[in-house]
Amino acid sequence: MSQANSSVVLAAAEADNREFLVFSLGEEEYAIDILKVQEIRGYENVTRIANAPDFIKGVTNLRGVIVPIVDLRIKFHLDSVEYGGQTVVIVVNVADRVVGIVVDGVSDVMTLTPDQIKPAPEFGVTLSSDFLSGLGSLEDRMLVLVDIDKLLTSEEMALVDTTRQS
Amino acid sequence: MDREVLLNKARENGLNVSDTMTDEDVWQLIFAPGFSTAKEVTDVSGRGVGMDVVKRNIQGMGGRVEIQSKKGEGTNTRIVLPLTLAILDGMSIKVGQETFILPLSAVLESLQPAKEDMYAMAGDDVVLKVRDEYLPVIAIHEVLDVENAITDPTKSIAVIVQGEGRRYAMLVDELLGQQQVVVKNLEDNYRKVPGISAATILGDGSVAFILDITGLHRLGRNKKEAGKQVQSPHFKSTPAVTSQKEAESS
Repeated sequence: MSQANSSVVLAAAEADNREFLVFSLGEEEYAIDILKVQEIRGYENVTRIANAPDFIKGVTNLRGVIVPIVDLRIKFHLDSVEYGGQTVVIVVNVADRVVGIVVDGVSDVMTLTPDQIKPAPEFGVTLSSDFLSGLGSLEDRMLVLVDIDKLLTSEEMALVDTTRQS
Repeated sequence: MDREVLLNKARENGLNVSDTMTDEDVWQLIFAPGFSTAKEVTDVSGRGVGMDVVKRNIQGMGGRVEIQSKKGEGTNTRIVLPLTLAILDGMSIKVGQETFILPLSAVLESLQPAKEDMYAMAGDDVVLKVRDEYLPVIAIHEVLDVENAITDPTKSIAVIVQGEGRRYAMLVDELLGQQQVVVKNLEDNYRKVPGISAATILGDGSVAFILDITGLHRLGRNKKEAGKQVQSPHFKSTPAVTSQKEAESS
């Protein structure tokens, strides 16, 4: 009986575990919910959009779909923004839209238990804590868990027409 | 369709409705997922799926469904589809390293502007005289901030275009040729971009924008006004704001 109980508890705990895709921006490690990720591809062939904010690199052709590409490194004011063989685009699905985000590299997929996710402290001018779902601690690593839905649909990203949303 | 029946059903399903909703909003309820007024559910019908799928597919193409209905009289359903699937005859042009598409229907002619035909107006506005007609000049590289473009008007090509009944002279670097393009909506995944009506995919797989002529003219004007405001901060900003609104509403 007690064994059955504990397996139920274990299953419940596993259900609360969330998987995250870990990517790097410079020296920092960030993570987003893996269920938002559609695919990962290289950075190529981006058409610039005139008069758009600098972190919007442009649009690209993803198998016939026009997809905007956002460079999070510019958005987060990182010093070195280079485009090389390691530069990848994570294509995410948020709010019925497909958006590509440029990152320095994708490292791995991590499973985090609820007690490994700490609440995000109130801080940050460039990255408001509204856009964080928490901080993930893994032994000596700290992952910044980004709420990609909120970030990409926020007004300051200028990706979504607010009039069109309503 | 019966307004009361729909509202009651919506309340049962826990949808957020009120008696003050407009008729149009009430009719749209039939498209809600899982919404059905059928009393009997069979294997294939009455589950509230069909209309949801209809609406989603129409919206997927960028269209919409309008319903007008009067109880006891009948229902008028109008499905409005955009021309997103349309193929457009375009003139591809090059500015700097970038390729753009002009709708061929808007292009009247192209010519090499001569220096003596270009007149400056009120400082930085330029008009081009073409057969006794003065056309406002739109320099694409200025309006769309294209780098490495030809800035000397006499070395570039003026394409005479027509938009909303007016003619403009558009300065481009090079004409690449005519081609048919498939119009792709930019707003599916992004937003409306001033001066650009849609996008398309070129033969090499890259994306090119289809230019919106009157939008470009407006954008150019707004930019010049914005530039003037930076120079003279006492200048009231109302004209730029109103023209911006016009640009958005059209």
